[in-house]
Amino acid sequence: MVSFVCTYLLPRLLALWVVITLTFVVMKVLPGDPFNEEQALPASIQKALNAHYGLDDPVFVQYTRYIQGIFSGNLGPSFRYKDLTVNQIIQDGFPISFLLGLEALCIAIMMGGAAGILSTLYAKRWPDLILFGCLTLAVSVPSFILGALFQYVFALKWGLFPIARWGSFSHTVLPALALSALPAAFIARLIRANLSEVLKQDYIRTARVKGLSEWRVLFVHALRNAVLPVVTYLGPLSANVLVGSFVVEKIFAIPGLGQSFINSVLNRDYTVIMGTTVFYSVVLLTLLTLVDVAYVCIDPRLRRRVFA
Amino acid sequence: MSKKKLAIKLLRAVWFAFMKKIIRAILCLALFLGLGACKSRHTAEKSGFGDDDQVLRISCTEEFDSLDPRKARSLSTVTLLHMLYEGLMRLDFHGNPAPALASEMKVSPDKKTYTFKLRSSQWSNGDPLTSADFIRTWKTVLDPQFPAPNAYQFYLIKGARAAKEGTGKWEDVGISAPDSNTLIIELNEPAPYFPELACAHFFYPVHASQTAESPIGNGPFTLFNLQHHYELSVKKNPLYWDANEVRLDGVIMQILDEHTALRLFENGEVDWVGSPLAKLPSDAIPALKGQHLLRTANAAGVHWLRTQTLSPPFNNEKMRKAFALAIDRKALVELVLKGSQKPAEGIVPPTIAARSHPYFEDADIPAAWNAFQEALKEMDLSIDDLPEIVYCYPTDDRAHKTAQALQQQWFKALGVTVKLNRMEWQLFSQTVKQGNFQLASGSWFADFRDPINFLDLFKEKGQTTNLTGWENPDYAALLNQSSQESDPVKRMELLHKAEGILLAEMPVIPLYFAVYNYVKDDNLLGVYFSDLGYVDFKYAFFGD
Repeated sequence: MVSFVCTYLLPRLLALWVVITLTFVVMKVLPGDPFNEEQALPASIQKALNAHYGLDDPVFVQYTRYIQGIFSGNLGPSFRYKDLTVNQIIQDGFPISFLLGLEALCIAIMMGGAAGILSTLYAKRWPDLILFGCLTLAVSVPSFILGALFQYVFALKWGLFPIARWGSFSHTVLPALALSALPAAFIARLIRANLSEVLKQDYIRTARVKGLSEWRVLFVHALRNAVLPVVTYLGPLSANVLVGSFVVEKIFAIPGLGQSFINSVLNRDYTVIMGTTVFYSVVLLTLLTLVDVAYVCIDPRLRRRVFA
Repeated sequence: MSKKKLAIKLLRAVWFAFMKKIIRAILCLALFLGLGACKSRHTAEKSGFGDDDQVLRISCTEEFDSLDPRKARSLSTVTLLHMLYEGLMRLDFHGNPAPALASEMKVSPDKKTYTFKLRSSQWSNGDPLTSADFIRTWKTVLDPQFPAPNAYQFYLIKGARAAKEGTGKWEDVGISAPDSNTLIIELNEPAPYFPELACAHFFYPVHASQTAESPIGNGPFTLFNLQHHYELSVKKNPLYWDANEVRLDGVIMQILDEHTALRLFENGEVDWVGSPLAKLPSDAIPALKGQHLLRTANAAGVHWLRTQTLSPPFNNEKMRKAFALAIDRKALVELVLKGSQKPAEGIVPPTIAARSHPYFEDADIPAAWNAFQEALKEMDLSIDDLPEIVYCYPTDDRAHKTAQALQQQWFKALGVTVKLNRMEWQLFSQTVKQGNFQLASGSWFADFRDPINFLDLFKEKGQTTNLTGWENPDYAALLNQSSQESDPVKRMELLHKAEGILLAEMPVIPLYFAVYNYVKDDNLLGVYFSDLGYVDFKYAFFGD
């Protein structure tokens, strides 16, 4: 267990610190400031605003203040939305993005898994070709076009789902579908590539020779090995999908966290940039750790190594 | 076993294995979300309001920056503040300042002292509103520590600038309240636009126990429901002093993507899309115009080009003139922007200017060519030695289209190829601030309706609004003279003269006067659309 902590947790904490520091440096190097606007403010007012938000302190003081804030769990006020704190923005947005992301993730795993297995079984025959066509489309069409298309066809023309906004299950269907297309295609291709490789191996032949049913060979013996790269991919993918997508949330008017990532940078809303980046890193690093744990569960060889 | 049979078996197995879990998950999700899907569409749209209530639904692009009038700055927030608050005066349906919280306003003979008598009115929580509320609010605004971006609007009040900049005391500021329903304000100079300013949101009172979560207002509406980055709704305020005039039961402002908003409008789920709370997508404007849906309101705003007058080639006045006269504004407005904007041959927008005569002729190519040749002679250059000219503008759809049109027009008229430099907004802004540009796009929208609001921007070199490096002692003298002039007609004459100087020397090249484009439900009536960029829904209602 000690070795697990040393090999997995410590480097990740170090990575978190690097992320925080790099974000801070890049943010400060970027031109512009949060109170920049077309209707320029008089210099004295600019100065008063900078003083109030501590932007006239030396950079090192600001840096230590951010670090202190992160460790005390208080990420500070938003410069742009004066009634909001960064904690509040994350608390409001993340549950919504999480729910939507979870739905998209389920769809992606189910559709991608099914498509991957089917196209392996029908390799190089028409179901495979059709699926391959669909997957290529799903990979290459960006989600904002897909979202707008779904909106137009399923909502505006056929009236099956609401056009946009949030509040009920039917509101989540179109954005979740739009969000899941790319990961579903990716998962399908990963499974197809690995499964066809695994099915050629000797131990599968042995299993077949022993008279196991094809069902058991595939699900118990082959899929277990073929699914490992998918698990690897699921870590960063989940982090990406669960904290929200800028484009899909914008098109469907969903009050998730995704938009804060982009808007905070455009507005130079320093505390929100720091807050969302740190939050994202924590989610990502947690999921990567979970992936490692999942690896150990799936692959007995690793289990032996970790607990030796 | 054949592969086909296997596939069927497989699918069935997967189906049974997952179905139980899926059904359970979906049920949980549906329950969790309050079975919202089963709600009728109508109630879902007017969340919280009754079916027969008159409820207006507007799209807006962005979260409001603050519900506190002292801190708010973005133009879209101003519309919201006009719903939640009321100041001493309010612009009436025709755009004239009319008594609001103040039942009467007296002006001293020298036009420097304003006395307001307050009517008895209440906050939305029932507390009485007195002159002490105004005093307390304005004291915080002028506190050097308080983040009030609009505090400079107070600077025409005696001692206000010194108090805000920390060199003076609050006690010396010309604001006093002899009793609980009287306010006296002393100005530095006779500013005839002060009543207009008193209507603006930065002079609103704020309740003593105001918090961000539950703002206490005194306007026609009060806050009803707030979901950040999603929706904000207000309902009629029964305690508003003029509540009988308010006919809408509520207003819902929804944060929507501009294209999504149009789709919802098409489907009848939103009543108002576009300015002032959002923008219409520029590619949709011609189509909306074709369908006779597009509406246009005049804006007290102007789009212009700043020139950098400290370094060549635009340190030469004739060169600036040449580039200004070579622009075909009519073509730009009608063929490129297509939003019914007006070509600008002056700086002060026609809704504000007392007299609207052009200061120069649009697309005067021969004059432009002559000015260009003279400029080259004065600078002792041939056209080939002309340094590379770069035009900077931010990454905005309309600015990009404008830049391309200007590039072509300059090439046709003068034979000069101007390089276009499209920049991220913050980078653009910083570049212009530092003076690292030759030509840069820009605009100004009025805070209050007086020419001085535009002319003051270029009074001194060092002002954050100038950025051209230009200044002219005659110009500054005229502006100073106008500020001491108490006769409004003479004052306007002085301001006209000043505008003449600005346009003769052209540190800024006017392009077009802005308009607000929007679409709205035909049945919505009684809306006052101010040229200052906000909408007043106090008198709005749905007719049949």
